[in-house]
Amino acid sequence: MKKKLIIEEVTKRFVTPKREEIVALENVSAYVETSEFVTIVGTSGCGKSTLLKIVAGLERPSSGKVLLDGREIREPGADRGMVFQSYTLYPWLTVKDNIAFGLRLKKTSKKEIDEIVTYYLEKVGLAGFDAYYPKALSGGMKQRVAIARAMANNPEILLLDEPFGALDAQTRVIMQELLLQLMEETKMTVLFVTHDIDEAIYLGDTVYIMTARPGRIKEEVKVDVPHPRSPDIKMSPMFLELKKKVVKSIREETIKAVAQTFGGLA
Amino acid sequence: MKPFPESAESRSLSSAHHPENTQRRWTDKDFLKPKEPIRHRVYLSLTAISVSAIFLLWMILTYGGLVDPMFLPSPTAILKTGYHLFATGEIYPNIWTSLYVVVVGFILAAIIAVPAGILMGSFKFVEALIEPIINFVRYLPVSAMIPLLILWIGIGDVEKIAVIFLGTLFQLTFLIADVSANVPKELLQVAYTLGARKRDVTLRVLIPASLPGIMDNLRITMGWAWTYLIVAELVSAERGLGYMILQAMRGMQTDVIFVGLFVIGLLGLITDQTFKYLTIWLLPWSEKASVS
Repeated sequence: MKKKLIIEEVTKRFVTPKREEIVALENVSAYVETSEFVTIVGTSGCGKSTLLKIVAGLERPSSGKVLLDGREIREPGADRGMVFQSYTLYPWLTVKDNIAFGLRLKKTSKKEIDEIVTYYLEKVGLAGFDAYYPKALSGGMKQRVAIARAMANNPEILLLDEPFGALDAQTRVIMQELLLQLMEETKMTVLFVTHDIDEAIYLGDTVYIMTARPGRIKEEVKVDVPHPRSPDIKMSPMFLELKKKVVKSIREETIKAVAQTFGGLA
Repeated sequence: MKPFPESAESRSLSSAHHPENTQRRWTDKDFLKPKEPIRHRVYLSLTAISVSAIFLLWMILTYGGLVDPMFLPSPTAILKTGYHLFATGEIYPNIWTSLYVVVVGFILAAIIAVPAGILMGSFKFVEALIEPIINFVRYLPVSAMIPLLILWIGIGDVEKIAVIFLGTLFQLTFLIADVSANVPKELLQVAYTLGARKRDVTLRVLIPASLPGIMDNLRITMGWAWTYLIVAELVSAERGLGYMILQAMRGMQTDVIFVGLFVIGLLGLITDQTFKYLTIWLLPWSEKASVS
């Protein structure tokens, strides 16, 4: 398989207002193959969201680079669609106009916009909701529209930053199934960041485990579970074995992160 | 009050917390619990009680002859005077002058403050240019500037328009800068990932996202504009509601003062409601546009 996205030795340093230097990411290298679903799992504050923002072009790496189809990423663009954890639908636009936002910027014809919007609304299970304003939607519905909005632009890769993090547990499971099904159908390339281990394994073809600050890739786990995946696989011995491995790895990092935060006190 | 159904989630949340609230009577001492809702009928009755208590006290004091009508005229005396002022048309030039001055001064201030505030809240270089100046000037009470404005401009309507303009301009700019600075950065970032350029982000995201907050702050500053106007008219004027009140004081016509106060209050209420319905009409998508 061809490597669609290559993250090459990316390091990111911040300087805090107190002039302390923080290394958020250190020599992170990873890749995503065409039509692959890659998840990155790590404790909070490990820099995984920063990594995704660097891939999106919203932030610049201090050193290293990210290549999409062989071209270095220098700025954000429509070829990398993104879904955030916080609700980012535009409240002044209807569901339809939200999904059409990127298409209008590309001067897509009205007829085509109508077709694309109807298609993706149906795909995310919100057919008929075109004229609603976001304030009338629940959190899960908002994220469905956000996914439809990113996909309607037909990006080369879809970047998701804990998109279900704010949803309740039941809704989250439904959304995971929906996303997986969508990606199995469309064969889109996905980079998905989460702190939820179940989610990372259930969705991912490859799971990268990140260390606590400074964020580094600790381990790369291949999830050899065939598609289509039913939610039942979460109970399978194979899944549980993988989960045990990831949990152990993450646990070490969480303990380390806590120790860092509290310094000598812990 | 009946909760406005916003989303399935918020509804299920509130009912999950207080499933039995709607059936309960307020007599079981829930009203002493902070933030508990009470029944609509109880709410209205309480309002009616407080308003009628004030009226009752007023009536006892005046009709009972307990205070000199020179200090506090009776409700009927005020109604009579009010009727007279409106029937003869005496009051209209004063109302028009005050309204004209407030509206013109306020609109001029808004025309400058809204764009300046958006720029100041969103672009650091604009902030660096104007924030220190605004922060200094906005703490100068505009009433302290009235003598200077009279020296410069005279005592006509233009001077009063200048008072309203200066009184609201800096506050409004500052408040709107805050609104635009608080637009979540993710809203802008998501636009970039959908292919937007800087210009699109400003015009299609930053400005619409700021609109509800702008409306809110226009509504608040409009209230201040009325205060500044009356202060300006009390200092020097030839017409206007503040002028009418001052003349009434000189002539010991307490009833006219009260009519003036009621008219000012009423006009303030009308402008406030106008802003509320403008929000519902122009920004139906906003969380603030719920009818409550």
